[in-house]
Amino acid sequence: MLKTAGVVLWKDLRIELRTKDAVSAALVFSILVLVIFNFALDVNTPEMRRLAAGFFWVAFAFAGTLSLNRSFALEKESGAGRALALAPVDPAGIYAGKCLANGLFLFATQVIALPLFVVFFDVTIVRAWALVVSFVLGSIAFAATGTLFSAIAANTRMRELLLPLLFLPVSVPALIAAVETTSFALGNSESASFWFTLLLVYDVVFVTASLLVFEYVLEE
Amino acid sequence: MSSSAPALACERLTKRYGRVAALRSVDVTVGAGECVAVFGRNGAGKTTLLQVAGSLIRSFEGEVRVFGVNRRDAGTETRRAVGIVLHETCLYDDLSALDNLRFFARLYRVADHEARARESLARFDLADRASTVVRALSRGMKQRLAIARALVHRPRLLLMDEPFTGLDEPASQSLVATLRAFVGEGGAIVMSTHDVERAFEAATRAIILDRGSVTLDRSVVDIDVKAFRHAYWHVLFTGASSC
Repeated sequence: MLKTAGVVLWKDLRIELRTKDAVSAALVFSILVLVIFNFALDVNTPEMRRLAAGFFWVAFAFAGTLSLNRSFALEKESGAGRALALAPVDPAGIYAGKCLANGLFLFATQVIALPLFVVFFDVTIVRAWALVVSFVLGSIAFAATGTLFSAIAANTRMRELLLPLLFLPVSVPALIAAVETTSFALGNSESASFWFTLLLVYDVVFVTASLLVFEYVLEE
Repeated sequence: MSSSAPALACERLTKRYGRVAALRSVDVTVGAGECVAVFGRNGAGKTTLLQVAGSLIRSFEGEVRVFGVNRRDAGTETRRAVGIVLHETCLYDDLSALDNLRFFARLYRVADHEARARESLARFDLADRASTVVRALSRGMKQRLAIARALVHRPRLLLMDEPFTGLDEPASQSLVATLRAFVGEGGAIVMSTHDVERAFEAATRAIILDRGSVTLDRSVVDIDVKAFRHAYWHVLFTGASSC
């Protein structure tokens, strides 16, 4: 499974390095949302600073769907996904490779968007380690569910609409936990161990479940 | 997976799309060293036959065995033994020609994947386009690359849907030579086509499908190409077989 995951990851990274479609689309969208929040709301108040983590993750959640939509759309182009599905490999390996690639793209988007977020919302990163852990676990959570639903939505005509409809409601627990852990990193709370645990459990449950069911998704 | 079993054996194969039967109780057996050309008008069931044999369609009636293994139970070894060329190129448009072959060779666990990918490119006269992205290749080049992709893992059964589409004369001749060599090494081929002359250069057997049923299944040695072309045109334009 790991070998297959590595090959699929290599392929997705090569395509992304050439096209920059996934990261650039998500990045531009998330920056636009942050700019709009910045102009629409008076963000330079203590109350708004406490809510800043929420704004960041809302922008990221919507931007992430753009990137995730692209993930299996490129498998549909020219039927390459059919050749992939026929290969003598464990489907879980294909899922793992796509999930890793999506996780990396989402994490890269967050890291690039972070300086703008800090400037626009005038926030201070009090616990850098917590921010890194929050971003990593949050990216895995979004990639785990997003990759699975992106594969399901890719076979439908309304995939751009279907993916957020399927993916965002399921991601709500992860989104809440990610907001709380990021808020902790920004110094808005004293403890977030429950939310870190929740995010970790969410990642383990959804990655495991997706690895088990991906074979059936691929068959369809 | 049995090495003595036929490469492909279809028994009473029926495939329906709703009320329409694309294949009606088709019996076809393809052994090692055989190249079977499947002819038929549009909608006759040629592509459906290839898709069932290639596991792209999994709900059907009847039995389909690949090297003795039921297609519904096909494991990794059976999949490794099959190469498939479809209407679509099944290539990643944003990867280079070489990267596409590298990717599929690695996916099929080809031991010397780098050398094999380069060798496949050279075999299909694409060595000078190794770093060109597929999106920038011509239709004929994409078709050659698609065939190279299907062959990169050295399959024993090759399924090809209209392989001569988009190929110019030299490329068609080269493909015929490749198919002959493949069959000469004990491989089996099933290809759908409308190109009678070209197919007869490579094929050992010809099948005509008409409205999902086999109306002719004969060795090419027993067929006069001119008479066959005439009969095939009759099928194409009237829908009735007189072969």
